[in-house]
Amino acid sequence: MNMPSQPLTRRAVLRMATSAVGIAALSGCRTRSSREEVILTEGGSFWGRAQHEAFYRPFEQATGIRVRTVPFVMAGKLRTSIEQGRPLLDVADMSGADVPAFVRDGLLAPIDKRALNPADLAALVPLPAQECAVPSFYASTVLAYRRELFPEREPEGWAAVWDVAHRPGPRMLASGALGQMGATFEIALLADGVSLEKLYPLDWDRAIRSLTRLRASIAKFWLSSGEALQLLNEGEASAGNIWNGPIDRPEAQNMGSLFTWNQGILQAGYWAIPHGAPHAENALRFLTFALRPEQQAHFARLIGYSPSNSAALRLLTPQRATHMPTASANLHRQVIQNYDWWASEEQPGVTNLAHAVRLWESWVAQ
Amino acid sequence: MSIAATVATRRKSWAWIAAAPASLLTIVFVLLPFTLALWNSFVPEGRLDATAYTALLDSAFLTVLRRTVGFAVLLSAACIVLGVTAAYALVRCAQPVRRLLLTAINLSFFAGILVRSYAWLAIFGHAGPVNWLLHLLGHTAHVKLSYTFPVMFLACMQIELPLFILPLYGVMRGVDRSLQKAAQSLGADPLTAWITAFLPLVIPGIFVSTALVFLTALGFYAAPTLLGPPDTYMLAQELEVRINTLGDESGAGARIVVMLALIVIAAAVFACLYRWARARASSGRGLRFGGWCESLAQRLSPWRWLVAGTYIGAVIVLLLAPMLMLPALAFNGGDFMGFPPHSLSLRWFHAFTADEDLRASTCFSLQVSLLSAAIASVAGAAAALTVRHLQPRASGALALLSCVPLVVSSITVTAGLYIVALRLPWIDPSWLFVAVYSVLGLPFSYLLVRSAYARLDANLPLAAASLGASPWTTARTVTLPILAPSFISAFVFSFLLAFDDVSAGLFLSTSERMPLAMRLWETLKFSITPMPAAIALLGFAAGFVLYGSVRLGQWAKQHSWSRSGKEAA
Repeated sequence: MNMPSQPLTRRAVLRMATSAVGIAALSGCRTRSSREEVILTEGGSFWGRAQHEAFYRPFEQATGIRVRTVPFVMAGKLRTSIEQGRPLLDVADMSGADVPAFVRDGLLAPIDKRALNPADLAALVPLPAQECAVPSFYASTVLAYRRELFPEREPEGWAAVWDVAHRPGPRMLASGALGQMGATFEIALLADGVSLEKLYPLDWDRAIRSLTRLRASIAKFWLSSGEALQLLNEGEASAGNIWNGPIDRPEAQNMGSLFTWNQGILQAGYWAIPHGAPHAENALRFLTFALRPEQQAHFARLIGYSPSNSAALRLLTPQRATHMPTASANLHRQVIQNYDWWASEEQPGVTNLAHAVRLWESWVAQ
Repeated sequence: MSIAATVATRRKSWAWIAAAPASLLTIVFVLLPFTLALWNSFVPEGRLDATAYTALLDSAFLTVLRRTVGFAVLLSAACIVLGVTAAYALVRCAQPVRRLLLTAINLSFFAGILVRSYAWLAIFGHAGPVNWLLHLLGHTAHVKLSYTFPVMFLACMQIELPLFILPLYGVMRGVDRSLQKAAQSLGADPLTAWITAFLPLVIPGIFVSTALVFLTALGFYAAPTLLGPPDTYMLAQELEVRINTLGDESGAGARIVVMLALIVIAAAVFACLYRWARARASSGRGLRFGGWCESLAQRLSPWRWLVAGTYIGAVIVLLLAPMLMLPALAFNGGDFMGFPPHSLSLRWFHAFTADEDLRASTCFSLQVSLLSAAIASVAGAAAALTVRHLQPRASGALALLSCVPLVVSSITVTAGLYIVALRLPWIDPSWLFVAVYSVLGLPFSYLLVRSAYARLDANLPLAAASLGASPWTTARTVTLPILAPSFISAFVFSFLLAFDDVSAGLFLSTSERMPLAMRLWETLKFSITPMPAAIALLGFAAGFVLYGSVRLGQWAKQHSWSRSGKEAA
């Protein structure tokens, strides 16, 4: 029964060896270069790859400044780090809804517009540069559906998704825990008959009533676009909202998952330089570089998101340009998300964004 | 006599040193961060302010809390029903069946919770095997099963059941079976004997297992989020939104504190129940059962083998169902995860090996997980071997410190540590990962080694000592070799825990220091491809080979070398 002690010794030696290798490898990686650098954020998978290829690598080659990337930093984490006086980033990638609130709380440094190329600055349409932030790209929350649900032609708008009596089938919506990002509150109001022009300020009660109307048909509230696309591909949902990037791909079409620009919610990402950014000068050089039409067009070729510099649209093939959220044919069918409203305070100390999350939490957990 | 006494005193001086690593791990990486979270929630901007707590009352927090606790209670109840029977079956069944069941339990850990969740979705999906079976049985309409409560519940059971069974199995093995035989010889039928002579003795063990399940269920994140019906909203989700979306540090602190208070209360209740049950068990009174129990027992008696067989079968199927699904998901040549596969191909295995980021993350995960598993298993084992030899008060404290990380769930440990890490930006994140994973692995290795140590015949080391062996020689030649299997399980367990974890990655990753599970999570956010299943299958195969070779090694040791050599050839 008694085991010889030899295997134990061997194992102990092995274990010690592995730990030693681990420690050596970990501490070996701790070299901190004294070269000029800039710390940027990197979105997951496809988005991150597009950022690297269109902006980060060419910037390194053009300037010799090393780009250090950290995984996508959500607004909450970013806010905490700036408040602690140790921003995680030199250039922050932010949703438009977070910018006004960050500016109000003095968390962002003003951007010196004289350093930017005037032509690029003028080409920032439909949303212009702000004092502390410049638009980086556009995405859209669009209406996605299974081909068999609307076999004849694409739906006019969100009311068609809510119309479960005529077009029965499970639905999906972005979780309200995503705040304004999933645009679920806007969509609920549009479905209830509110016009694109009169959307803001959002009528909370009406939005909740509209959501309650659809609730029995909702199969899932999604938290990521991968999840949303999977729901649609598998037929677990027949219609709902999704971001245009993941669904506007041949792979999705092959699965019978389609979308329309009708009543889409156009959303903008912004670049901003946090107060106390460790390499603020390099951050500004990065912005100047990244707003060039060539870089912007390169980004738009890699992923279905629009360049913020409208001059870049002309560098795309006409076929590719029609897939852009800001292409004129698509733009007039959508509504631009009103970030000033989202960042304004519903009650003292509570932004509409925070209010939306709380409202959604109490609604979903009833 | 005197030799034993010398051994005992020498042990005592060593005991404090051996107890130090486990205690320090928990104090530095769990208790200190929590103290900071407590401070943050009461003194957000340098002055005392309880608004974070009053705000809790205005929000959905209480509803979410109530539902999370309700879910944990239900899950614990289900685990008691299925787990007690399964653990008992493990003790009583024939050797081959026990091997099968133990293998199923061990293999059920060998794929991340993320992949297991997607496997459940495939099993119960539109075109999944369950719907296909229903179709065969004459159900013409497609039955909606995915994103329903029962399926989420099943997936959570699959995660929790092994946690319930393993410690209880250890307790049940220690119960003297002659008691039951004595009861039967006095005229009790087997079930009555079981209920009156066996069950009361293992009730303390049942409480421990239940506490494990209940407390970990309070911190569940991935499985309910991915699989739950649309109204699923758990405490961990609410906490994540506070940190990542709202940047509400004091609100997050308040939630961590309330969660912790709840856990402490629950743990205290379980501890009281445990003491009460143990006192009753040792006083010999046992727990009284009414006459209905006996009549039920008589009625069920003839069927007991069928019942036991069904239970064992159901448990094995439940534990291995997501694993059986892996190949079908992994060899899919399509663009998206799904069942049935689009075409059969090695596409996603190639995609994995060709991806530089994933390779780097795999290396990082392996390093961090191996190192932290080594720390956790050494610290846990040292604490487990020491705890018996300390003063009652000190041993209670050590046991508590070793088990605390288990119940506070990985998301709260990391969230707490993250708040500290923000203030210490010069620390290489690799070490934070090692710290988190060492702490999370600690209780498992402690419990595994302690239960093995408790079964160890105390006379063996004494016999060795009386024959003149020094304490070190006794440990090296007697105690440690007998306990070696439990050290290995402790190491493997801690390793898997670290390798699969996403919550630490969620808060602590940088681009160069991103664990594999986190990198996959990021990729899945955009598009759910079959790649995670391919990676999980590779890991599963590696685990299977490892597990097989350990088993083969044990088998070879028990047989003569010539025979095992012939077998291998």
